[in-house]
Amino acid sequence: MTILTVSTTIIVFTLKIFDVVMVMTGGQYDTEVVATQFYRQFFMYRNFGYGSTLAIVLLIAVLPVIIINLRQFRKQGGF
Amino acid sequence: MVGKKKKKGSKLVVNIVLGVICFIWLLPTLGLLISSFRPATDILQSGWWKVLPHQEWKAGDTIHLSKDVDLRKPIDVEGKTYSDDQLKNGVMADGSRLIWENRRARDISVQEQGWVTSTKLTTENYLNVITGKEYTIKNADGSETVEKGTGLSQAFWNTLTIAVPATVIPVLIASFAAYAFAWLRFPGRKTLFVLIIAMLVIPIQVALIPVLKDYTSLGLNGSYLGIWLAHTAFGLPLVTYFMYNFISQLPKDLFESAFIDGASHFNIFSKLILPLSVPALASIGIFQFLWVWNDYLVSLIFIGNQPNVQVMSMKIADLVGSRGNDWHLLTSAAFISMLMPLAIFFLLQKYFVRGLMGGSVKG
Repeated sequence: MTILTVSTTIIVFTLKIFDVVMVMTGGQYDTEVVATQFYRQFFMYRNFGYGSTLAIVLLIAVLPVIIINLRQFRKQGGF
Repeated sequence: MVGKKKKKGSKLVVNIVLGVICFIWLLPTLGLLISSFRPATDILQSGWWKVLPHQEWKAGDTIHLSKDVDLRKPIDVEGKTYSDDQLKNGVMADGSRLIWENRRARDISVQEQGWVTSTKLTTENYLNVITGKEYTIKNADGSETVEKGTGLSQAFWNTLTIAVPATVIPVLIASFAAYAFAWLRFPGRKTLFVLIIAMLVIPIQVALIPVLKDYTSLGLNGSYLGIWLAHTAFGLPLVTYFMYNFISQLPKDLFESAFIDGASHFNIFSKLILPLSVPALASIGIFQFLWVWNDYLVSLIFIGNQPNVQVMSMKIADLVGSRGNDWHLLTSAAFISMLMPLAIFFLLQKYFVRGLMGGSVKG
């Protein structure tokens, strides 16, 4: 049960990782992550629409993880 | 009997593997600790492992050749001939190495392998970091003034002022919210909970500019209240999720019996749930404290670098100097900054291992 909590948290945090990637490679050499691409598009190229879309994509990517988690809660009678 | 031996053997193997993993994990921190005690010049020239005994080429005798030796032709040294390039890189001759010591004066150094450690240790880094580095300025009329920069002391108190409320407030609010999500029934409960967990996903950079705009119009920029609110907002989703997981696992009969006895929701919360969830509160409290203590981005944006509000992470980054000239101070600054979270962690240890139910539910 705690394993589920921790793995959900870690998965969500890893999907949005930004600072490590930005500092180590700056997103070059094929190491782009969603968050670095968001930063590049939103703050550097001023593509506000593109950046916002990336943020929404990140949100959608996390939804399955959350849904699985909530289903587990319901099974255990907590929800 | 054989089974018992097998169990002991596997325990030993597991312990050894864990020990090796711990050692590998701790090795960089150990290197940082050793580096923080070395003088600045040593840090800039060699790695921390040079403190341990190692083999290096030590200079022994010097061979003086005559001043008019032609470098383009093979050079004759004590009977053997070498080329100029060989002597530049160092050439082996009977167990010792010949290398140019001073090429213009035609001096060759004979080097031998020897065990050597660089054991110059000093606490200068720590003093510079805590009380400020002294630097000399040459005035216009040629005289020198010695001035002292600022150290980490003020920044330490600033960070503490920011971290403690920014831990207590989110944990408190999140516990209320988690109790409501777990045990109260109200319309829109599930949607609201999914919404809050979805907030976990948002990278902080997304919310920076809008929140900053609102802060400037409200005048909260650069004030403690502003950053408490910011840290609360950024930390709430995770803390709520964590506390919900814990509170939803507490046995229902406990609360139902209290409800029947006529306790209000607030009574149940403060008298039953809070004492029972002390392990979870301690864990998530430490997590949030560590996050706020180490935080650089949120403090950079929302509170700035005025000396009376600057946090330690920003101050450490400033210690490096405007051209990165003092980066050796980072080693000792890192360790000083590590002390407080470690202290909190050890202080809260006893709350981790407190029994979960404490015998509150029988049968």
